[in-house]
Amino acid sequence: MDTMADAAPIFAVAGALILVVGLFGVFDRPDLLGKIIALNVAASGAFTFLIGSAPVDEGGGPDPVLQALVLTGIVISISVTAYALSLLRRVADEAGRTTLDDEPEAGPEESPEESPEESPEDGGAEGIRDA
Amino acid sequence: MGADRVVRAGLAGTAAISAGLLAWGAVALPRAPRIGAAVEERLADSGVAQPVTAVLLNFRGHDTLVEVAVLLLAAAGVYVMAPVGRASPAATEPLERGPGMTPVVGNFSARLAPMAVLLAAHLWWAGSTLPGGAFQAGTVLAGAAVGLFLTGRLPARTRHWGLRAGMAAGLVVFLAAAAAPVAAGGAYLEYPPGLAKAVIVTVEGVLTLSIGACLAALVVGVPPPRP
Repeated sequence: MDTMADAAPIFAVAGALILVVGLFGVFDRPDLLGKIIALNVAASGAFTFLIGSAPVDEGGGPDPVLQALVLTGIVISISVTAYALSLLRRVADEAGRTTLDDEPEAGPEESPEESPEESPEDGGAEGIRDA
Repeated sequence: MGADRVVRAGLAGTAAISAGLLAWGAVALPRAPRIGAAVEERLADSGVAQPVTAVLLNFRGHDTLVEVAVLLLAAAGVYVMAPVGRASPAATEPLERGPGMTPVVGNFSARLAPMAVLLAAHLWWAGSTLPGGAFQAGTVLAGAAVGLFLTGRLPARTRHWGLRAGMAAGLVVFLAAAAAPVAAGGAYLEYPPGLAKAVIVTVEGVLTLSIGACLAALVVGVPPPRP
């Protein structure tokens, strides 16, 4: 198992790099879809780092506790991604754009949490989309 | 624009420093003692022979319970986001008229679905002794369901009450299994001795169906508004 013990820091270092690249993307990407994808990249890096930095035993597999933690994290990551995509869908439908930039015609809508609550009833979505 | 570039450079610098520190820590710092040894020591008490399943459903069962709640919350959030009464039928219509429907896709997905159900059942049952379990089995079920949605063999009616009940059943059964020992004088999530395996296999079986339903609903997602 010397190979495992030697290889593990490579996975941890790679995971750290992927995590940081993803986090940079979350803050740097202007478009919301890019942010969501970057968040997934960061999550993959965090999982790789977690498993790669785990203690390695002699002859056994990866630590079962960390496997369970990462498995839990993957499901949470899927849930967050799906919910974020549904928010993005509504932002795109209601505001006609997929960024949070301060555009001249942006109006009061600034965050994805606000716009879905505002105009489900008044039929404003079509107007904005057609404009 | 100048301020943007400064912010960006600062962000990149912070990222590089963080990556360096994390990598240095992973290589240079001593490793923590292996916590998995404690799991293997008490594996016989857990009711199952697979260490990961023992951690997920018994030793750290609370994590999994809340995780299932988060998955259900995400699926409920997708419902809330849907434009009620104004949903375009396009999102839930089968793609049979599109280029996606070829003889291979149409026949393959129909023949794949029963195999996926068998595979999910195996993964669920194997979870107590081999790598497997509710999450893997549920993912296989959801994949089969999405294949059937896309080829129009299963209507993607994610607002159907039966599907909603199925999505919530996993959390309800898991909560009942966690809380029942309290009523009997035990501790939260303390399965009765001798019944631990039966409880875990039952909870995992219901979780398989619920996770499959939740994931399939998440993939269908929010339909666009009616034009």
